[in-house]
Amino acid sequence: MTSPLVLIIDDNALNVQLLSFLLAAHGYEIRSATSVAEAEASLAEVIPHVILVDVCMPGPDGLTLVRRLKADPRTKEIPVVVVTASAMKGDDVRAREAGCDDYVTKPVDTRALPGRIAELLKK
Amino acid sequence: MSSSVLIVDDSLTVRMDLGDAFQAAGFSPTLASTVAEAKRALEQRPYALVIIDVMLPDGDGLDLLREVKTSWPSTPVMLLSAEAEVAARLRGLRTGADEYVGKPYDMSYVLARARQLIRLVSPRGENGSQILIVDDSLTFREQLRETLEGAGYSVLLSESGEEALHMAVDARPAAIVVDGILPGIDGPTFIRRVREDALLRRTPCILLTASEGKGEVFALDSGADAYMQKDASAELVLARIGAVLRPRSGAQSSSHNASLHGPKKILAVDDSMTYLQEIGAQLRRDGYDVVLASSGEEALALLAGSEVDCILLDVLMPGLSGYETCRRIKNDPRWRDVPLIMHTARDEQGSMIDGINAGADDYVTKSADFQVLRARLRAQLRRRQFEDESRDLRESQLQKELEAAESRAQRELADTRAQLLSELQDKNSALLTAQTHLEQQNLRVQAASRLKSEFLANMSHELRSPLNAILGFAELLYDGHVKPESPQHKEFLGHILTSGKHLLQLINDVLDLSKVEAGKIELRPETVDPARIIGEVVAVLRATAAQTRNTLSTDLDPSIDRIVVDAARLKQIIYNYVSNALKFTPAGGHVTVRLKPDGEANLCLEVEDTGIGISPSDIDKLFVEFQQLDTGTTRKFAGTGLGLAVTKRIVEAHGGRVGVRSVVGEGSTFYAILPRVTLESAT
Repeated sequence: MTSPLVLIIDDNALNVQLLSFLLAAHGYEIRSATSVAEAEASLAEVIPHVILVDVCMPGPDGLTLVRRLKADPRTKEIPVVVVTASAMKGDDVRAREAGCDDYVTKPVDTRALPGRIAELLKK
Repeated sequence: MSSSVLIVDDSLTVRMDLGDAFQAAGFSPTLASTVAEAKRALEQRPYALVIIDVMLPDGDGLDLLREVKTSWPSTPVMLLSAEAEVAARLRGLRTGADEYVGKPYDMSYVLARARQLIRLVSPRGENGSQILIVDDSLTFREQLRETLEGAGYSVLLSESGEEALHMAVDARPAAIVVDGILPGIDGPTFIRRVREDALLRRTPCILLTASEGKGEVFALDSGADAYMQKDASAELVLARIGAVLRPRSGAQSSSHNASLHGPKKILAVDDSMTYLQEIGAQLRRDGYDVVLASSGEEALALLAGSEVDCILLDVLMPGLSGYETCRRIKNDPRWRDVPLIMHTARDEQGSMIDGINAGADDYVTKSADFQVLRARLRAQLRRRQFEDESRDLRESQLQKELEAAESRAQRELADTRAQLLSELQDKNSALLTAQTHLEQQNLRVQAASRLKSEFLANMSHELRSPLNAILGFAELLYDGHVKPESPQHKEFLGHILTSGKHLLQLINDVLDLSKVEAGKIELRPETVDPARIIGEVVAVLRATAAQTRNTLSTDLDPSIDRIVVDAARLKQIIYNYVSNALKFTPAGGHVTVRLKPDGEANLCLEVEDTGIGISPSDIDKLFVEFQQLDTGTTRKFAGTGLGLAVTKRIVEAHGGRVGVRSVVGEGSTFYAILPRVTLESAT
């Protein structure tokens, strides 16, 4: 059995490094992007098993990408987890409305995140 | 233009008599002897006046009266009737007759009433002034008439003073020319009568004299306005009349009834028909219209139907006695003021007292000689006129006072209203201002509240980002995912340190801002060399400039070597501007710190870069706390987003101001104007 592929999208290099290291340690294969444009280029090459995406990024934001993914028949089945520092009232509702499958706020709980991703992959 | 009069009477004598008289008086009469003839005449042309006999061979005069009043409601109608028919007189007046004249009639009264009625309906058209000529010589009258009419006057002619008085009352001429010598009352007497009359007394009178010399004295004695010899030339006559008319123009007129010489109606009441006839004949000779009643009851009925000017009342009568009739008349407010003369054969003091007690105004003993009665009658009529005049005066005085009071009240009301209105307007406008002010304040409060919410969201976001790295990497290390000897172990510890420092910087900025916001900033001004301060900051930031591969230089005016300022705050200002410039300037760019004078008292600190520049629409948001430009830009150039807001507050606390000049794609210049000498702490 090959390792599941995770696409991590975040403009902050430290965040990308943190999530990459964490998930690699749990047996995932990692691809990363620092903008929506980079992510779309990656998706054109390979379809990941799960996507983690930040919201606030230069250019189109993470929620815009989620809406595009869910509108595209080629990508709509991919589970998407929104990982964001925007944790105010209403931010989660906006994320769910955009079509994400899970919503995680920063600071990320590194002990729980791998389990939540595994759950999504089981469905 | 003469007035047309229709005379309807079956008696040829009466028709001819009235016809001739009306013709002579300047009317144009049409005669009819039956109802049928009268109707034919009425169909052919309108009439200014219709005179109808009550008893006509082919119909009732009252029916004809009704028809005339239906078809020509404004045409006055005078009824003629034999005097005994009291009931017919009442019926006639109730049917709508304007006048009821008993036969035998007094011609001058009929003519006078005719003129009155016509004038009441159609006021005289003014074609120049009207002049009344009074002279018994037909030749002279005609001659003078020609002269005056040729000059544009209209002329009235009379051959006696008595007739002329009546005519003057009716026509109210602009001037009267009267001969000194006349049958009956003479010229001077005529003029005196005119002067006694309230209505006529202002009418200019010219007295004609035959003789020279005495003329003027004679004329002035009589009250004439001018005198003229009968043989004067036409030019002189016209000049005289022109002269008397000039100052008199605009002479006032008063009500017709105020005239002593207007036709007066006397009600005579006596149970003796013979005596009644005699009184009637005597009084008609004086020009009165006399209405006869043979009992107290009839007299009261007549009074209800028409107005009279005086009442002669017999004491001894069957039915209602003279005293009782008198009492009833004097108790009725409608007739209370009509002069009443008790008239009896009993010559005793007791009955006189009874009469006066019953309310009579005078008491006359019956006598074959009517001189006393006539004189008393004149006196009563005159007294009545004086009373009317003085009442009119009182009324007009009261009216004037009332009007003055009313106008005063209205003026006060208008003033009060205007004042209230103005107060209301002021209050409204104040209210409106207050409302506008409140609305603006509300908008500001809402905007501030929105900014606070945005700030909290931003702060939450900004704190969570470094915490994510700190907690995440710490967990990885703690949980043993990273071997202590691996190079990543140290790298991750470095990430924790960097993020921790960023978090500290964030907290310091927020604290700074809140301190400045609350006005708690404390300035410690000291004399410093600005070049030294700038040099220190530039030294610290040179490493950052090297990282971003930008050059950092200074351009300082050497004349500014001493300023009084809080040195730590000045460093903060320079640090914020320069680190901002380095952040937004792509690799290979230049950042210059410049210091130069700004007027006598100020200096200008500038930081110029060759960075990305700021669009004009964003310039206003730059120094506003918690406002961020495009989110993408902020993320890309991470920072607390509070630096410029803090800088602005610090500069303002020093009494200075901040600003920026920028061109997108070319670069920006941020500046701070500061006073060379900062006063002791601004708190």
